[in-house]
Amino acid sequence: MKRLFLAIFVSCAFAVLAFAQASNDTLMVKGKYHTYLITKVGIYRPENRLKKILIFPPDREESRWYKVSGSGAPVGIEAKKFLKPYAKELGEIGVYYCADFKGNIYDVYYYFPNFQGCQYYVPFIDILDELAFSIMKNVHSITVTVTPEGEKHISAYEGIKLIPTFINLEKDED
Amino acid sequence: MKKLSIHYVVIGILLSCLVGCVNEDDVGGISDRDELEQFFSYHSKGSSASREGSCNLSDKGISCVINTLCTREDILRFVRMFKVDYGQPLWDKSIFISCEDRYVLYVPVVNKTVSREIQTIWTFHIKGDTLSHYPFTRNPATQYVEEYWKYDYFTTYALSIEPSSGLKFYNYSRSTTPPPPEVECIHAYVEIGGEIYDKGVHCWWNKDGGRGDNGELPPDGNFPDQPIPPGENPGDGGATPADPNGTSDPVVSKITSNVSTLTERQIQKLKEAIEVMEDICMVDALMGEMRRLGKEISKVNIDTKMSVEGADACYNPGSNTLSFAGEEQITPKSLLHEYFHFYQTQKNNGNVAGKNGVLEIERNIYYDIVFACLFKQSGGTDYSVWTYQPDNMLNTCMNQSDPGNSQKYEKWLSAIYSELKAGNTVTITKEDLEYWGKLFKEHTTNSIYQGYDFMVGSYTIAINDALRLGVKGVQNCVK
Repeated sequence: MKRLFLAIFVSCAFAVLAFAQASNDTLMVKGKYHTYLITKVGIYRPENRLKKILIFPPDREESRWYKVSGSGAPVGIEAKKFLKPYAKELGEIGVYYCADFKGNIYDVYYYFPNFQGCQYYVPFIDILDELAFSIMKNVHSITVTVTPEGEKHISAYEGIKLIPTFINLEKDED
Repeated sequence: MKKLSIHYVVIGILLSCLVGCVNEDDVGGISDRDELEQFFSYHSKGSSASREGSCNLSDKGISCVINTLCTREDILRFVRMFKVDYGQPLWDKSIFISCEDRYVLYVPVVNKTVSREIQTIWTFHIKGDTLSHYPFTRNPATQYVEEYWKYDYFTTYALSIEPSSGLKFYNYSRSTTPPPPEVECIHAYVEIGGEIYDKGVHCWWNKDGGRGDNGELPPDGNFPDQPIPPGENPGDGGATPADPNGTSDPVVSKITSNVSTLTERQIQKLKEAIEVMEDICMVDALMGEMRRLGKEISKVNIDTKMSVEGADACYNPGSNTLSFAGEEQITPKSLLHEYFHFYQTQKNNGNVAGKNGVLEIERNIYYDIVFACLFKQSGGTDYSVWTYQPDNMLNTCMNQSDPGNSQKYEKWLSAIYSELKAGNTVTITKEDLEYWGKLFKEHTTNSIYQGYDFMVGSYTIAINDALRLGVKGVQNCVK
């Protein structure tokens, strides 16, 4: 049974590869929901890279603009749930996410500190895409409270990039 | 009319405040008396001081120095030698500061036959019941601002002329009135072709500052140490008003026993900020360690001039003073930031001159670790833990321009958290600090930080001890 799953997984991976556009150090790969760019600094949706965002934790000035509070299951737990079967292959992962000012997570992307090369991650795009979808839709919700001062500024920004979660998938701890 | 009379009275008092050893019996004829009067001519600043207490202390300090010098049996010979070799001291233009274990007086000495600029600073240390003094003369070969800024400062403010080096100082107009003596650090710059070039912040007192005019004075037969006559020490007689609030307050006394110049409201804000520090387990451990060692900040005050430079607060290692720009700026963030500088200074026995770069990098990394640990402990869900993070995370400036290193930094923090959580100690090395310092310097848009040197050199790394405090023993803050 395990072998069957592995065979399906590998064949899916090759199917995904067919959509991939290769260059020296980047690779564009289509997942089920979104298209990702694989580079050594991350696996991300390129269209979101053009958006102007705030960074949390904020600096002193920006901390007067908004507050963030959290609820719901943490990203780390969800990421482990999805990625545990590939723990050995993926090792350590940083999960990054951005929320808009209504608290909706609209972007999830990944960073592998021990990057193995663009091709290496192609077979995992679907599972990473599923994880991103799950985090955005179901898992992690946050509340962003924008202050009156912040109202004057935030229209220039798409959202907030939140502090990432790093997980060593091979270890039990987060 | 009444006002005019008061002016006459005040002028009369000032003129009568010539402090010195003018004793006809001791020194002989009237010409000797005149000579001494002229040499020691000083007009008390009295109540014209902008800040309560400090100038009275300054007057007492200058009076102490002059009266102690006058106990020399050979005072007339000494004065004549000094005038020939160095020039005329400008006591009215002197700078008096209160340091951790002494008072220091800097007196510019003018000698127009040698130079139109100040070339000599007569430096006095009042330590315990001993007066030490030595005239420092400018070395024309000096290249570094740190070596000559004091001379240029006095040329600017004591003589009201522009020093030939072109060095200028922020905040104060060019006038005969120098900044108040309690301004212990000066921000310098030069202007070339309309462009401003930052020349850093320089403090009057840097213990072991490396130039010899700080720390201990060089021994010299012409300038031997002298015992201070009883009652002359400016520290005697409670020149600094006793504080009814701060010293006895159990919360405030966790960091300082001197808040004598703060209002009740300001003390309350300080207490609230300290309480936030207590709530952060790792920082509380830091405070506990300092208290256990009997280390505290000598004084917490308000210095409104800092706001001109855009600073909320400043810790002065030389005077061991924490200053806030105003009441609004007494916040947990400011206190957290500056308290770690106090900790670093103690770990380096006060020898942190010229180490601004590494001090800031280390402080930034320390708090990034502390708050990342708090966030991780919350399972990565409680964003409110970041509320009191004093500054941006170190990697924020490289987020766009160098995402690889930005992410590497976040991963590094995560690895440190894992180690601390496991009860292990972490060692942040000189190479770590210099690596992140170099990147920070490269990417930050803060022009002051861009000018700092981020090399560790002889600096004693404090962060490892600080982190160890939070995880050692039964109470592991990170678990």
